[in-house]
Parts: sequence; C-alpha cells; structure tokens
Amino acid sequence: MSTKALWLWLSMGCALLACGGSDTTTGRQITLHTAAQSDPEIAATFATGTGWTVQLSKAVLSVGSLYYFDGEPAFVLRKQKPLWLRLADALGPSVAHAHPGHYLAGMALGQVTVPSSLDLLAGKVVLPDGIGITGLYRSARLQLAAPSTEPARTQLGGQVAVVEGVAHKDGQTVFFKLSASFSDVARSVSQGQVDGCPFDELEVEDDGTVTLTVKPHVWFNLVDFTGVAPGTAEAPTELAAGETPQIAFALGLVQLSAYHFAYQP
Amino acid sequence: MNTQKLKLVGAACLALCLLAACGEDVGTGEAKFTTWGEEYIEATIPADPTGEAGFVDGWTLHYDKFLVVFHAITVADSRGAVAATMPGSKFVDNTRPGRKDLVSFPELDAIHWDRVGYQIKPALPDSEVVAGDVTDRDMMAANGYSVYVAGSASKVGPDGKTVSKTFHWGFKTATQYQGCQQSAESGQPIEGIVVTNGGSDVSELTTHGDHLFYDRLMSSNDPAVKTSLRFDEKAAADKNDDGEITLEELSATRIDVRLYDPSGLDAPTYGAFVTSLARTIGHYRGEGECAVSVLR
Repeated sequence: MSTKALWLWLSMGCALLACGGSDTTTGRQITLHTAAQSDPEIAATFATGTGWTVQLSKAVLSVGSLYYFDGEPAFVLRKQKPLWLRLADALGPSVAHAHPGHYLAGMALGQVTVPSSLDLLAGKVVLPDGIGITGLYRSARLQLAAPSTEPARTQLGGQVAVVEGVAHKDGQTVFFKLSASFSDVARSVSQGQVDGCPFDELEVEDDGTVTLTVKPHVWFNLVDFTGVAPGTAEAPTELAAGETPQIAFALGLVQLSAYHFAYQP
Repeated sequence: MNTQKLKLVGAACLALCLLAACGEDVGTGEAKFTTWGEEYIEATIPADPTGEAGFVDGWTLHYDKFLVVFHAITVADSRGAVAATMPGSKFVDNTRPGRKDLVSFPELDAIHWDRVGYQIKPALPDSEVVAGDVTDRDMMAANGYSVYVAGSASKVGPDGKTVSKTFHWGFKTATQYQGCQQSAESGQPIEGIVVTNGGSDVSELTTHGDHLFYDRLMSSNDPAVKTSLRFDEKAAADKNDDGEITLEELSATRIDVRLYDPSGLDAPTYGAFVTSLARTIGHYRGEGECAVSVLR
C-alpha cells in the first residue's frame, strides 16, 4: 500500500469513527441537465456603469466547461456549514489559496465538460447534460474557452465572446462591436476560469436541471464609449484588442456576478 | 489532495481518534496569538521600479496609523469541535513596533487543531486596547470602523519637485478569516496549529500594509501577470488638489482598466477597489493565508 493510500484509508476510517457513520444522502451520482439563458434585460436597454445606455443586437459566448462546488461564492455573506460538510472539506480536494484575493472552491459536486456556444439573444438554450453528486451546491466555475467546433468558431471568429449593439449618452451614439479572445480573459482569470460564481444554495438530492443565467449588462460595467467613432448600424465601430473599451469589456466578461446558477428538480 | 495535506489530515484525525475513541490523555499545551504589521507598516513601503518590493510608480508611503480590531480568534478542528474562542475584541495600532500579544489559550488538548480563524470587525466601545491610543479606539467605535489607516505618500516628480499626499481612510468592513494556513515558504504548509504537550505554540495574525495599493484584487496563477503596488492613480483622484486623498474622492474615480484588474469582482472605482483590498490585509504567520468571507 502506498503512503498516500495508507493515509487516505486512515483518514476515511477515522472520519467514520469520529462521526459514527456518514450522511447517506451525500455523494450519490445524479444527472444534471443544463440550460442557459440571458437576463431579460438583453431584449431591452440597460445602463452601464459609465452612464451609457446600451442595446445589444448580438451577444454570443463560448463556454468550455462548468463546475459546481460546495464552497461559498467569492466574497459573499457566509453561513455556517453543516458538520458533515466541514468534515468533507477536510477530506476533499485540496484548493489553492489565492493572493491577495481568496476563494475556496471546496469540494467539486458536478460538471459539464462539453463545450457550448450561447447565442444570448436566442432565448433559453439546452446545453449538454452534466453529471454530479448529491450535496450542498453553493458556487460555480464557468470556464470561458475559444470555440472548438463549427458553427460557433465561425460565429465567434475564434473569440470567446462577441457583442454588437448601440450605445447612447448625452446625445452621442456609438454603434459598436466588441470581442475578447481567450488570451484577453486569461490575463485576468487563470485559464479563463471565472471562479466563485453564485449558485443558489441548495441541498441537491436528485436529478434536475441547472440553469445558467448570463447577465450581459455586467460585461459593460467598466466600458466607456467616450471618444469611440460613432459607426453605423451596418458598419459598427470594431474596437480592437488593447483599446481601452475592449480591455474593459474583457474585464467585465470575467466578472463573476455576470453568471448565476440555479438548480431545479 | 496532496500527500502533505493527506498526512496532516490523517495525523490530525488519528490524534482525534486516539483522543475520542480511545479516551487516551494526550496532555495539554498553550496556544498564543500575536499580531504584527511588519516593516511596511512600521516603517515605509518604498519605491521599487521592478515591482518586487514597493511601488512601481516611484512613490514611498509611510503609515502614521494602522488600526485594526480583532474579534473571535478561534481554535477548532475540522469536525467542528471548538477548543477556544477569544471573548470580546482587541484594538491594535500596528504602527507600534513589534509583535503584540492578543490572546493566550492555556490548557488546550495537545493535538493538531486544523481550523484556526479570526475576524476583523468594527471596534466596540469596550474593545481592549492592546497597542494604540484609547482616543483612536473610541473614534473607531464611534464610526463603526474595523480598519483605519492614515499616512502620507511622496514622490519626486519629473520636474524634481516632491509631491506629497496624505490619507485618512476608515473601513466599515466585517471580514471572517478562516482555515488559516502557514505558508509553505515558512517550512510546512500547516493548517491551523499543532499544540504539543506542555508546549506553547505562537501564531501571528500578520497585517499586510501593502495590500491596499495592489492593482489586482486576486492574483493571477500566470506568473507572467504581476500584481503591483500603484499610487499614481490614487494621487490623481485628489480632485480638489488639497493634498488629502479622501475615500469619497477615490469612490468618485473610476479605475483605469489598463492598469487595474478587479479580477472578476465588482470594483469599478478606486474606492471600491481599496475597500475590497482592505478585506485582504489579514494574514497568518507572515505570508500564510486564510480564506476570506464577507461578514458585512
């Protein structure tokens, strides 16, 4: 027996001894159907953090994978974990401590590893099924990825996300096209992983559907179109990589509050 | 889970089993907690164009006050057993030199307590003054501050003239630091503390004064993406140019996205950015880390 196996055996044995048995409802494999939708705001206009009013005519996002965890979302009000979860933390996968910020994913409970592209103006879409185990779901990781298959690759031009629309502020109008590549988002979040997204806290006990809601207005929190050429509806101004609004868009794209997860039986 | 962690968890569990299942007396020891602000808070944060150990943009910064209020220092284990919790709260000005004693828990079972945590929350009128002025404690309590920093920064401009700015920032954040872990650089990445029979274990709740000036809220795992200390943008936020940078001025100034990265969090202004960073000042045994949760 290897040292690692020995220690694992000892840990698990002691856990049973210490707790007098395990929670039998935790850890059973389940199927997690998956759907994605955008906030209703996408059909109307929304205000940005810089005072612009935006209406989108295109919003496409490429998702590589989804993971669900029992750890609390990053920087949210915390609640006391039940005893069995605290024990599970001790025995679960190790997670890195970040610096200077901190998010502990905790134990992985579910995943969807088949890449998808989301046309956020097309309404609710069904994504490939995921697998998971029963337990307390509290946070999620959304991994942004360059599209690997058609038609998403053509639709996105190899980018992680593409949006088009019109922005208004103080009599100015800008027709714009913004995009971000994988390297743009990976500069901000390692491997394009948006970690610590909120998942409506729930004890998941059976098969069900996880719905991802994307909030595109969050992508625009830092975007300022001041000084951007007005463009036209037919020929929007395409903001190149490295231009300030494009950098701001890439930062917004990885903002974890842009993605919200919920489970329904 | 890595082998080291497995060993630690296994060792802790074995010890607990021995204690709980076998009823064997493992003896007792002491756990002490101190705090220190390190040189950055006691002396200065220098300029360093390389970004390794100071401001990349030429500023040097000196703290006159670095006031912190500690609550609920807790020693526990991963099964939920709590060995000790500090009653009340302790007020410290970490510009005062040296390590300050916060609390001592004698007679703890001599085992591995792998869940150590604490809180930095607003001062209370009865927060014990460990180091600092009572008037500062009262000011903190009256304003609901958990962290208060005051100081000055200066830089020699391209015209050879020295520019100076002062700041007095109070933060009302309430933050839980849990699962504190000694950094691997300190020898072993130990979670919590190991109390030995008849021994005295000392844990330092270190406060990091440089964090407030980071240009990222979370570090990147990509070593090519550096986290740097910046002050130019905070200085420029002094819109009335009176030499004092207020939190209100910082909150009225949006971050320069070419230089600052909220790392997925919501911090569109320098005020929000600095406030988020104020939650990250709490560390453990130097560079050791704790998981951070927002209490308020």
